[in-house]
Amino acid sequence: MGRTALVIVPTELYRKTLTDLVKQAAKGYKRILYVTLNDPHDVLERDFKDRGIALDKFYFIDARTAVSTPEPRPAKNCIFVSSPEALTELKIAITKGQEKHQPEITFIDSLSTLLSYLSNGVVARWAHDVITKFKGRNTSAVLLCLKRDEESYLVKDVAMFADKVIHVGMIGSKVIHLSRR
Amino acid sequence: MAKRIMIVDDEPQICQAIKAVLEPEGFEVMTTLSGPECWEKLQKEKVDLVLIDFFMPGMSGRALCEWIRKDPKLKGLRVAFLTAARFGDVGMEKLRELKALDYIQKPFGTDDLVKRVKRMLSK
Repeated sequence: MGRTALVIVPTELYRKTLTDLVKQAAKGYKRILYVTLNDPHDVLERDFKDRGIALDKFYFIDARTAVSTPEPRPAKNCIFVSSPEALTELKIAITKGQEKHQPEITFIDSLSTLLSYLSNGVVARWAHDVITKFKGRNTSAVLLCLKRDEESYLVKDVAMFADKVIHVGMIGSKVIHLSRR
Repeated sequence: MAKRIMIVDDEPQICQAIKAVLEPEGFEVMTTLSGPECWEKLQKEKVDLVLIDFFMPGMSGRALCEWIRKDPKLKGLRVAFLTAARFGDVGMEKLRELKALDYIQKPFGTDDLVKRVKRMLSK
């Protein structure tokens, strides 16, 4: 059954947490949809490859590349979106990606990025629509956000639709995951 | 006396559709398009149940419910949410914290809506 997890991460642990989650997902799932709002998909691909993560499992929705390269070179495992703030375009691309790749799990990297462009209310409603889609398709999803946004309306509201909220933190030098449910 | 229900949804057509279902059942239905507008009306009007759309621009349904629960005059008011997605486990826990009676998932059937509203009003 599809489950939705909201992962709240401090900025300094973001990259490491993301890598750990992606690695774990690549071990447990055959098809993964990765929505990137921060890094171009080719940068992520190189990074995943360097870390020994099987790339053939991934299909990307890239809302970053076109911000700096208005006409990105087409890629067979990627749909480009003009900008992270183009929420309708992004939603359509996610639907297409789901239809094309039939993912078992989708990563949204990250909700906090959307807050740099748009208001809490707008992003929360979009996230709700997208979660509705995931639940309707019975697929799992991992929505990432930064700890600095933890008290935002967005995170509080989106958490209500998550099956699990995971707080990533550190005790001494050890990374810990505290989950609610 | 007819039970009074307030609908809060930023989409006027949803408000009207619910109104069109509930009024023939003998309920008095008021509609508002935002959390702050609802809040203002609740200060003046006595209602038996508020149906709140969870995602509204400006103030979410959760935030409106928190305001209601903090207001000594309104804290006992029956509240339920309207939402397209199912609440997750975390949300169900939060609904209990907010003392929300139920949530109605959109799209909903008219018979189901009436049945659930009647059930909530009997509590």
